[in-house]
Amino acid sequence: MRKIGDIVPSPLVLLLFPLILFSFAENSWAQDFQLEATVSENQVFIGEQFTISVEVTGSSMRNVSLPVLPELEGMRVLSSTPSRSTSISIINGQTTTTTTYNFSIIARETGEYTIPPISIEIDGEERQTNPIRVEVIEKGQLSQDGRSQRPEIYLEIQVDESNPVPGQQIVASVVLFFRQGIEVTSFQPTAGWRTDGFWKEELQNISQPQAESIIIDGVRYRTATLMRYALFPNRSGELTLSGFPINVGIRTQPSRNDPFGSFFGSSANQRRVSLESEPVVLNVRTLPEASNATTINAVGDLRVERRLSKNEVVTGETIELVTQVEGVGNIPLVRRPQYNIPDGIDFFTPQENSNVERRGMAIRGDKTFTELMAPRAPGTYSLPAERIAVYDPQNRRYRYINLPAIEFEALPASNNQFTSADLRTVQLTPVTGLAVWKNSDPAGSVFRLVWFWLLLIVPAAALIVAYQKRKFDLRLHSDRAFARVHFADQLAQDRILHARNIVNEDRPKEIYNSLHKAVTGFLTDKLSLPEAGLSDQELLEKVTEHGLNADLLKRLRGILDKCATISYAPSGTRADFRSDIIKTEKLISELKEQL
Amino acid sequence: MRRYTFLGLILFLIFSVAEIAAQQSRFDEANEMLEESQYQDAIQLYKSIADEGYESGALWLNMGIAYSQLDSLGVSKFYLMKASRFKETEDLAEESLEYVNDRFSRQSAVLPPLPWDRFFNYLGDRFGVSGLVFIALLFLYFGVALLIWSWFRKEFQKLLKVSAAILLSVCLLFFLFSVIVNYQQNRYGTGVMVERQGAVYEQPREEAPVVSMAFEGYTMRVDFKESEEHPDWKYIRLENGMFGWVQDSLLMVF
Repeated sequence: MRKIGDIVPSPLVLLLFPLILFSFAENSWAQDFQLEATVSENQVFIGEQFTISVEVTGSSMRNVSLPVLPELEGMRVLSSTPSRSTSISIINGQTTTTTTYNFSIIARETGEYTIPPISIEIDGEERQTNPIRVEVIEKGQLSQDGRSQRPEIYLEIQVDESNPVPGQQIVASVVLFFRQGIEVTSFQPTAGWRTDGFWKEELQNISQPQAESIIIDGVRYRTATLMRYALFPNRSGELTLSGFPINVGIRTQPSRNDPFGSFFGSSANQRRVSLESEPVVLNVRTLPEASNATTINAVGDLRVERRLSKNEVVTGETIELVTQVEGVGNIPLVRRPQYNIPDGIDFFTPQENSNVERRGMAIRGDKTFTELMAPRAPGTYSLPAERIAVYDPQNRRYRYINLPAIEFEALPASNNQFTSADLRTVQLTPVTGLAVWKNSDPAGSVFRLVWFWLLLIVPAAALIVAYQKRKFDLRLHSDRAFARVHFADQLAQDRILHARNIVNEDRPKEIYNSLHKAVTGFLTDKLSLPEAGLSDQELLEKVTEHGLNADLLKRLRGILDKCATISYAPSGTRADFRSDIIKTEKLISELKEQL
Repeated sequence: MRRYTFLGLILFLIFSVAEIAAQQSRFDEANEMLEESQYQDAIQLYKSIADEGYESGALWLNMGIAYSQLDSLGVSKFYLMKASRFKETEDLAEESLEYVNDRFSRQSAVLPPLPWDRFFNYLGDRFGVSGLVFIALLFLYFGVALLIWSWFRKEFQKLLKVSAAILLSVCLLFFLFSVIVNYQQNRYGTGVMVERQGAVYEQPREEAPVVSMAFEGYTMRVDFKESEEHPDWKYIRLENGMFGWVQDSLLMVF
């Protein structure tokens, strides 16, 4: 660094000032070129060839001499005369000429060396390049394990921060590594990269990937960053970036004359390979609590401003409260601040607008929250001051932004304006007049009411009765003996009735025949005896077996005997007939009770 | 005896009409206060009617409107929701609710109810438990009649039996619906957040983790059965599907 003393202006200096200015102007014209020296690799093996390039770039053709290499320690120059190439480009009418001199060098001894400045004459003036550092390493340091473990081509996700906080931006670079001798002709990411727990934005800072040389575990690789993503974790804890899948077109047998090749160089043996990086695990730290401040999930170098669209508003009209957050950070994830709004203000649906730039290595932009407020009554309204917390990941602490209180005036609405109060009466119309009143005491569950169970019992009872009736009817139809027992009395009564009907016709034989049938039919039906074929004597015996009392048996025998006798010798008066009919009727009634 | 019965009936009718007339008179008085922007006084009168055990759609609607004028939007929403359950004020209450809902600064995400929930809610609102029971009984009576008929009429026995089976199945279905709706109505209620905001906790205690925040006007389903053992808390389900406990004082429930 050059030491500069105090500058004291003097009359002489003032006199020479125009000349000095002219001299600077001339010098600046003379400096209208770029001189740069580069090496193809900063790390080389002993005995390996590499290139030192001296490049002169300017707006016009210049008189450039051959560069002169100084003495190089630990290296040998293969040819002291460099190869020369010139290129001219015209962009927007501006011509740029680039002249490049390439020296081929072989590393001879291990160690760290500095290539001294290279001298070159441009338009008669000698210029020098900057020194360049080169490390020569032995091939013996190569790790055979590394050679065998690492594949010829592989992909890595490299993150610039492995312990971020939620909302902090990290840059994940998709880096391709491939051996010397392989050329990458194309690449195409495929779907399936999972970034659960992150907000992801692709950065637009890589137009065409550039390959660089690198030695990994003693093996020379070339590496190129294909894509970069800005990731914002949205929760704390262990989060995993899954393997990044990609299809890569490669060629082997690269051109020998071009050891670095162009990234999209040309050769034979072209094929496509599918690669996937290893998953990357990040441990996201917990965001500390902000003390006594409103948090809006802002992380980064962000500024917050708040303003009103106007200072005066007519009651019922809207005024905009605009909050703008801008800067570098997690713009897409910033939340709307929740302000303490005084009563008497109607809020309407807030709007959000954001503008995010993805160029460069960080997401920057602005986000605007616009809230529409409508004061409901005239007066002065004050939105209290707010303290907004923005987390600064660099310093690992919160930065607090104080938003001052804002006031605005609500003026009374004129008569012809549509005020909030008017709106309310339009929307909310009370009901007046006669109302339909009812008791508000809950009636209780319908299942606890008596009428419900009564109404349920009625069909059940009807079903039971109908079922019994049906069963009885079925038995009457299917069980002959049961039917005879059931109808015995009725049949007997029918026969007695018949006898009574013919009393006045003086047909004693038929009368007593009917009475006989009534008695015998009743007994055979009741006792399930054969309907025919039994003599009176046999019938009496059967009846006796059923324990009929003696008096009843005697009277039964008497009736039967009389019926038999009259059948053969009809006699008697109508009174006798009626008396016998009554006796028979009584007898059957008593038999019904006994049997 | 008949004379006394008649007299008693007349007296009962007179007292009933007089009592209803008294409610109506107070209601009219409160309406006048509402129109004169004496909202607080109007609310007092409306409340006195409600406290005596009377209710009407108009009463709840006007209370909702009065509270909306006082900026108690949560309480307003509560009464408007009650008013919307009455046929005579359903449309007006729905319109007013739409207006009040627009004024809440925070709106909850609403998870659409499950299809069977929607179905049983519809049955409950459209028919009610009594209506469902009545329909079920109607089908039961017709079904039983057809079944009995089928036992004694041989000529249409098959047709009658099938018809009876269908009617009895429908009856059973309606009884089942009525039981489910009755269960739901007894177990769950509707709550409205009436305070500015409140936390929804995982457990019924303030030290428990906060599940979510509920803001004024949020409606929620209150589980009475679950809440029985914690008198100062209510177990709720927010419209966005989240469950948790909120302090009883933050809600109004019907």
